[in-house]
Amino acid sequence: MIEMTDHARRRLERYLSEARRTLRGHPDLDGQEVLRGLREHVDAELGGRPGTGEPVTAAEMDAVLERLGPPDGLAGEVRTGHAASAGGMPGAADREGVRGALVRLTVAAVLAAGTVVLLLAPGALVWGQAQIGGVLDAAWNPGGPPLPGTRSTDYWIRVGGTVAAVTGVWWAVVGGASARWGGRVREALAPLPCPVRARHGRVLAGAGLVLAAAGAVLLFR
Amino acid sequence: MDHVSDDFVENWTTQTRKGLLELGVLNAIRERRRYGYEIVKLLKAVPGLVISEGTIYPILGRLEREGLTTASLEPSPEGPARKYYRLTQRGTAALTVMNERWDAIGRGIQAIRSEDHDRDD
Repeated sequence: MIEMTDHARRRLERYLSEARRTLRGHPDLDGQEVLRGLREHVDAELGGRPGTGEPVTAAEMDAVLERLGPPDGLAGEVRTGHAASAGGMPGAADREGVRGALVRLTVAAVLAAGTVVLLLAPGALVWGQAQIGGVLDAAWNPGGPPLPGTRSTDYWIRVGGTVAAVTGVWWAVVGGASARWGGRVREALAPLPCPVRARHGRVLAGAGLVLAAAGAVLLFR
Repeated sequence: MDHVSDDFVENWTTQTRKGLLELGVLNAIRERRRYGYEIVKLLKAVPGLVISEGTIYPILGRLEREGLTTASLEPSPEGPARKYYRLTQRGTAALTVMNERWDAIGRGIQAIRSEDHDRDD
């Protein structure tokens, strides 16, 4: 982190705040990513200045922000729309937009449904097996007491622990793979938008490890 | 230059620059991945192409969203992680066509100018 005076920090924060407000008016731009890029730019610019041991002054910050340009002009050089929708008949552009939205919606629905099935499948399998075990137990032993251990609290804690452990390991694998190779999936889907980012994969992998650990604690308590 | 033609040229320059900035960004990462700051400094060296350095970042986001580039965050020895951009297959294919068209337009305009020049002589 680059050290800066309070004045310099306030000027940077004000610039980024105005930029955020400007970018909000451009729904086709990812404002957070643009802000991240601007922040990276400021860090790179100030990190390379002579005498880097001293905190950045307001004057130095002003010079960097001036070169970046006014916040309300940030999106000024972005062309608007695809060539097809920019130059064609308005009706054709609208139809193209509706068709694109439908395709995006379909892909998003398939991705969402697939993701839910993918994430819950291991847990559903283990839970289902436990349920089937209970049914078979009742069928084999009609009217009688449950088989030793099958209906006890300890039995269900072990089922829960197994579900959590298996699902957690699965989440960690899927999350890790998403973080590592998600870029290739986005590339393959392009130009369709893929909102999943590497950080989502890392969060899923982290949650998976926590869940797996909780499952292990239940199993081996 | 009078006021009317001054506005006209400014408007023409702005419109032309928008397309050329995209061409410049894509060419900047044609041979190797680069991070945003590197790309900005590279384009800044082209006279008249970059007026405000900050305007490159929305373009980088736009190209990524269009699927022409892909980006990855990588740790930097000098500070926070940097976002590196590289061309996708789609971006490489698009850039090849864009460069060909740009070259053809340049040659065509130059040919027209040379023709007029020859006639003047």
